[in-house]
Parts: sequence; C-alpha cells; structure tokens
Amino acid sequence: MFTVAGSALALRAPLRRPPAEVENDLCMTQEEFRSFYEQTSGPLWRYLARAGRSEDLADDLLQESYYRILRVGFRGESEAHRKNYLFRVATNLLRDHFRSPKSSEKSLTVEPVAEEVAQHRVEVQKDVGQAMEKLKLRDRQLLWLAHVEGLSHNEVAEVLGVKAASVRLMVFRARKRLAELLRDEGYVSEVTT
Amino acid sequence: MSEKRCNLERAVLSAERTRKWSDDLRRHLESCPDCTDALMVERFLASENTAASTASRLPTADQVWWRADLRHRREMTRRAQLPIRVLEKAAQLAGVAAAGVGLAWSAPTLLDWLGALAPTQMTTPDVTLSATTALWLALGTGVVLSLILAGLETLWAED
Repeated sequence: MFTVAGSALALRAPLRRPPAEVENDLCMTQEEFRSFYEQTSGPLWRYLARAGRSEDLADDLLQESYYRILRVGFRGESEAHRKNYLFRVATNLLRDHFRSPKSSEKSLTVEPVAEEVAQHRVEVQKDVGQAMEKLKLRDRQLLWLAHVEGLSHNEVAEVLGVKAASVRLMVFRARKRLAELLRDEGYVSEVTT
Repeated sequence: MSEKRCNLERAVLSAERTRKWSDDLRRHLESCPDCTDALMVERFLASENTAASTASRLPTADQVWWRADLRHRREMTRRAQLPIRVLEKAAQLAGVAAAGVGLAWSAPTLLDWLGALAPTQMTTPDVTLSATTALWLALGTGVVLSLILAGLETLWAED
C-alpha cells in the first residue's frame, strides 16, 4: 500500500535534488541544460510569442521560465514530462503577466532585421491581429498546446492546471471560436484537402 | 453551438499531419462542419508555427545559463546578507529610539540650564513655562522620531 501511494505521488510531484544542493547551485549541469534547451526553447518561444502576442514578452518569459526550472530543480521522469513542466511554468508566467495591472495590451514588435523577415513579421502581425488577437489567452494556450504541440488532453490539463475532463470541451469551444474568426477573414477558402 | 464532437475528428487531424487522406475522410469532411473547423484551425496554427519559427530570435543556451547563474548568485548573496541587514536596521532603530527617549527625558533639565544661561535683565522662564515647553519639545521629538521610523520602515520594505 505504501509502495502504491509512493508511485502515485511520483507521477505528480516534481523530482528534486536535496534542499542543500538546491540552495547553493542551479539544479542542472550546464551540459544537461544545453541539451534540454536545444530541445525545448524553439517550441517554448513560439508558444509564448503566439499565446502572449508579443515577441518581446516571449524573450523575457523564456529566460524566466528556464531560470525557474533551474532554480526549482525539476527533473521529471522523462524529457516529455520535463518539457510539460516547463510549459506549465511558462503558462503561469503568461497568466500572471496578463493579470498584472501593469501589463498593457502589447502588440508584436518588429525589430530591425532583414527586409524579407520584417515583411514576414508584418504578415504574421496581421494574422495574429485579426484572429488570434481576438481570442482569450486561455483559448490561445489551449489551441496551441493541443494543435501545435500535439499534447493529449491529459497533458494539456496538466500544463494549464485545469481538470482533464473539461479540456476536451474547452478545446472544442476554443476551436469553434477561432474557426468563426478565421471564416470572418475569409480564411475558410484555403481549407482544401 | 453543437458540442457533440465528431468521432472522426482525430482521424482528420491525423490525416492532415501525415498528409494521408482517404477518400472516405475527404467525403466526410465535405459534410462535417466540426471536422472542417478542426482542419482549418489545424492549418492556421501550423502556418502560425512556421511563421513564428522564422521570426524567432532565441538566445543561445549558454547565454540563458549565464544569466540564470548570475541571477542565482545575486540571490544567494542577498540571502546570505539578510541577517546582517536586519541587524543593521535594528541597531539604527535602537539608536534613534534611545536618542529620542534621552532627549525627551532630559528636556526639562536642558531648558532650565538654558534659562540659567540667559542674561539677567531678560525674564527667566518660570517653571510652568518650562514644563509646557518641555511637553511641546517631547511631542515634537515624538513626531520626528515617528517620521524617522516611518522612513526606515520604507527603506526596509524596499530592501
């Protein structure tokens, strides 16, 4: 019985190093971190930039997310588990940012880069401005995690901190809302198999 | 809004991701608005993902590590210095409090002494006047002391 309870706990609780080490060092070696970062930074930045609607915000929250992971020392049972935890940290940071009274409606910023990339960003801004912009933060997060990251409903629930049973319906509704917005833009004509 | 999900939705999304469309699925798509929505959203978000990949400007792992390490060291230093800072603040508060109490305690004596130094042709303040002045002086000291304490409290809170 004790073993069963222990196993159940291990599924949910983060695996950490002993507190003494946590206090003195970051909880990952630089080599471990490099490997983890290479695998997760791209998807995380895109998630933050699209769900948060700001590339500057994505830059800041990316750094903060990794800092928290390094400080807390979450090891996880697998790379996927650790990645989901990282996305959960980022999700909470996004939520806190938009809850904060100081946060304003930030728009995507165009940096001085090569012309074609800048042009591309302007197009991206247009899309985001017209469809994603109108969605709630939670809807953007849900759809990104379910469609782009391909997380299961249970994983989405874990990342967003909601009940797994309600994720299915939440995704369905968010998808309907985005589809409606896209149809308003005439995006529907592009859907062909 | 219908909230009954189509059973083939997962198959549609899978077909889109693998680019393997069966004729049945194609036919189904033409008659199922939920699957049409799912496919449209899937494609839109995939294009968003591609666009974001182009726009991304990630720092290197070493840069992120270095910043995190620097911040962690600063926090550790700050934490280590906390007891010293607390003692410093306590000593400052104790010093200010002792000075205030001492000043208030010795105010009547001080005023008498100042009165004795005054020229003889001037009216020497009587005992009632000295007591009143001492009272005002003590009150003033109390106010000043409160202001100083409030200032220190603010500084402390900022720390």
